[in-house]
This record gives sequence, structure tokens and C-alpha cells, in this order.
Amino acid sequence: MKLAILGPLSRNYEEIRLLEEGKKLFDTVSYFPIPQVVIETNGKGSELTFKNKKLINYDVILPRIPRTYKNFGTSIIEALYASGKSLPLEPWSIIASHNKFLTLVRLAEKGIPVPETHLSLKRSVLESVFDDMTYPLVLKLLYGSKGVGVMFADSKQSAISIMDALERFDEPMFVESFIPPGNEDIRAYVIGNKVVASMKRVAHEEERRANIGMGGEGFPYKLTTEEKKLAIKSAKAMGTQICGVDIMSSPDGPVIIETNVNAQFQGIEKATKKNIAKKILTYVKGRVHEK
Amino acid sequence: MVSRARVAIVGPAEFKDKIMPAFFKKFSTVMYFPSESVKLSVGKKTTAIAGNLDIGTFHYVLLLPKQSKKEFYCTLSAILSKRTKVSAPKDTLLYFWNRPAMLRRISSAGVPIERSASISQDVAFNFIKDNFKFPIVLTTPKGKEIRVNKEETLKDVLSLFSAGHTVSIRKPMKNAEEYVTFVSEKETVGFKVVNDKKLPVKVGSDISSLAQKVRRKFNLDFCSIKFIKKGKKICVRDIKLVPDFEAFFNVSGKDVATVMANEIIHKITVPDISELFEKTITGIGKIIDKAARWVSNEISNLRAFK
Repeated sequence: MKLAILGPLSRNYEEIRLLEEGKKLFDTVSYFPIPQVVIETNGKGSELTFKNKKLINYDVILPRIPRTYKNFGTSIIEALYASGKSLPLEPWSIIASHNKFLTLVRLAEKGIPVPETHLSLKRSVLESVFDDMTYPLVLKLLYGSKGVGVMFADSKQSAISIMDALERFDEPMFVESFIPPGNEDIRAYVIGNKVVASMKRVAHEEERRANIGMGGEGFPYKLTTEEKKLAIKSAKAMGTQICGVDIMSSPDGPVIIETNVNAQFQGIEKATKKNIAKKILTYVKGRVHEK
Repeated sequence: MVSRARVAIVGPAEFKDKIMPAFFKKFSTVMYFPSESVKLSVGKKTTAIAGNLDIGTFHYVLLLPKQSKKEFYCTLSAILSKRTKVSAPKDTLLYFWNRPAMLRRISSAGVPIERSASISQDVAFNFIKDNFKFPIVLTTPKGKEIRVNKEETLKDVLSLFSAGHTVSIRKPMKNAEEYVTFVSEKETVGFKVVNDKKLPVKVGSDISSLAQKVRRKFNLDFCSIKFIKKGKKICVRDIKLVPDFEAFFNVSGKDVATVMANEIIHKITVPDISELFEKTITGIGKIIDKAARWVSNEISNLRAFK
């Protein structure tokens, strides 16, 4: 069986681990750097190649599409999907997942609790909510990963200043309610209909963001039944079978903050000692057998 | 006749004066909301509010999206589609500005497209050098076309693209005619472009039927499609969500805003007020009648019991 991993030009821990485990589970493993894939479109459809290798000839294709290549990556996945190739995610989930607000809308549609969040293109439009929400507020741009682009405002004046600065990017910006204690969250790694690993992430002493990339630390954590159900439901709502789901515990119960179709697993492998790479590949291989 | 339907239009401020005059003539309530005035909310309630108005309460929402704000419009459509009729669904907007995906979808509708290749900007230079002879035409993610005649200028042109962005490449088509159309459910109007000059033209059934196929494939109420025609061969080059209102009016004499307004009227069913009133009165009458019979029965029962 042939495996193709579609990933960034420069391989991260995750891609290296997947290649490592892939060689044990598959007869052939190839790495397709996303930017070097060519999409040729004509009246018969689209053909995807990399150095004369056709992507369609692989039994299993595992996409690892970072934010930088979300548009081009979506083109590739969309063409594969249209050709009948079985993939662990739907093409729209890449774009939707990288749009943090659209993610919340999608989750809310499916009855999944999300924080109160407001979005606009102009700071002045959002100012009306600054008086109604409880401080601190969480301020974000639509895109961002590993905690980058997340800011906190402890007062209305501070919120206005931050929003004024964000407005210069000419991108949609949003304000989200803060869920105390704020310096920790839960990451659940969903594969198929299961949560295969979960950890609590605690922010570094001088930080509020718990992301591992921001210096946060991960500890093994056992999800409650409700948290587990929500994580699985969230992945399904976002059209993906492999997903990192971020959960926070609010006074009203667990709340989903974010989903990530290109979730890293270095931190969770280290914290839980579970072989996430192997679990991912075993799952995608099994899907092909099922068909 | 002026429709009682309430119509909202959301778009950049610069389109307001191009579209509103036509809509004021057709609708007693029509409001233009510049995209910057809209607040989207999720959590307690999922809403799209502008001023103090909930846009989801309008009978129809016409979106005039700009590509630079595509994520915003996609999210707006996702929110509004659950509550009202929207001119462009979220599923279409998710892929619309993704050129390879857009072209593939057009092709899957049985509509011919030009042959093209798409590649990421990072590696485009060597790919183009190795696989194409000049001249070539590059299309940016924003749909702008740039003709490149020689390798020396290629690097400069590619530096205009951001890293990771898609570069679409095709060969220029010689001696081809360009047709720009505006497509709605009932009508296809257009003009021809010859040597950068726009000329009025009656759109033939060949182009019209292809235009309708594309519009239906994307599930759009309205769109503007650019066709290339060489001899009998016709193919789609590009599709936009917002027509060039001025160009269509100046060249073909057609006010596409009026076409839009006329068609939107037929997409909305607003209950007649007198009909509503009559139904309410009839309903109340039936309840009173039922109550009166019950009282009468109870009285009869009591008398029988005595």
C-alpha cells in the first residue's frame, strides 16, 4: 500500500514522525511538499503531480496543510476529493478551520458551546460590546496559530488601543469573552470517533496563553465524558476525522475554543507518551481497507 | 408596483450609489449596509447586526463581496443562510476565490475552460522556465492577469505574489474574442471586448446556456462571467460575484441593478397583510365558537344531571 504525505516544504516534527511510522506500516511512503505540487486543469478535470509522480496513484493521502498554504492546499484537496479519493477531511474544513470565527459559527450551529464572540471590520462597531462584556477580554485576528495573534485587554481603554492597532492590518478582528482562570486549557486529539490522547496545557508563569509554542507545559489529562463527547462532535462538525480540539472549563461547563485540522502532536506525544503518529496512520490505512 | 419585501444589501460603500436607485424603485424597504458597519456575533446568539438592525430579519440579503474581505463575507453568508435567503451561499464563497478549485468546478459542470497550471509562488519561477515558452499569462489570487513576454521579467512579476500564494499560468489565446456577461436566472446580458474597447453585443444562446450552467453550478442568484470565443470554441476565463454596473450600463444600456431587483422580487414570498388579517380573525372566530359550544354542552349536562 502506498502512502503520500502532503506537507510543508520544510518538514516539522510531525511530518518527520509520520514518515518514520509510515515506513513501518506502508510499502511505499512519499512526501509531497505542497508548494511543489502542480495542479493542471483542463476540460477533463485536474491532475496533481510532483516530479512526475501523480498524487492520485497513492492509496492513502495524508494532508498536513499549514496556514501559509491553506488556499493552495485546499485546491489540492478539493481536486482529490472530486476525483473520488478518500481523505480524512473535507476540502472546506481547511478554510473553515483557519477562519477562527467561522469555526465558532459552525460549532454553534451544531449545538456545541462556544465563548461569546463578536467580529467586525471596524473597531468602532465592536466598541458597543466593550461595555457589556466582562474583563479581561480576548482580542484576536481571524487567523493565527500557536497562540500568535491572541491578545488580552484588562480594560475598555486597553481594548480600544489594541483594536486600533489591529485595525491597521485591515483584517476582520474579534473580541471573545474570557474564560477563567485563562492560563490553562485542554487539548484533545481526535482520530475518527475517538479521543486518542488529551492533555492539560498550562501557561508559562508570565503568560496567559497555554499553547506549547508559547512556552506552555502539557500534562496528561483524562477528559470527562462530556468533554470527550464535545471533542468528537467538534471534529465531526468541522468535517475532519483528525483534529486537535481546544477546550476550556467554564462555570457553565466545557466550552470549545478552537479546532485545528493541522494539529501538532509533539507536545501531546511528549506529555502522554502515546504514539500519535502511529495512531493517525493506522486509522487512515484502516479506512482504505474498509472501503 | 413596489414590493413590500424587505431587502438588505451588504457590500463595500463604493457600490451603494450604483445599486440603490434601482432598488428604491422596486422595494418599499431596502437598506444598504457597508460591510464595515456589520457586527457578527456567536455564543449566546448567532447574529449579523448593523446599527440596531438584525440583517437576518430581512426577506432577502444581496451580498456584493470584495475578495479582500472574503473570509468576512463567507462567515456572514454562513450566519444569514440559516435565517433568510442570501444571494451567494457559504459553500460557494468558501472556494470561490480559489482559482484552481473554481476552474475545476466549472469544468465539472460540462463547461469548457482554458487549460492552465497552478503552482505555489515559491517554486513558480523554475516550473514556468522548465515547462512553458513565452509569452505566458499569470493570474494572481485576486484575478488580475499579467502578461509576461520574457524570462527576464518573470522574476519581477513573481515577486508581486506573496509566498505561498497560488500562481495560475496559461498561454495567451490569439485572435480570441472576449465576452463579459452578467447572468441572472432569467437573463444573460453582455458586451464584447475588442482591443480593450467595449462593444455592445447580443449574447448568443451558445454563451447564454453555458453561463446559466456555471451560475447554477455555483448556486448563485447573480454573477458575472468572462468568456473567450475563438471560432466555435467557447470557454470560461473568469467569474466574479459583482458585475461592473457602469460598464454594462454604458455599453449595453442595461441597468443590471434593475435586473437584480426585478428577479429578487420573484424570489421572495411576502404574505399579504389583508390575507393575514382575515386568517387571524377567522382563527379567533373558530376559538370563540368552540368555547361557546363547550359552555352550552356543560350547561346541558348540568341540567340533565339535575
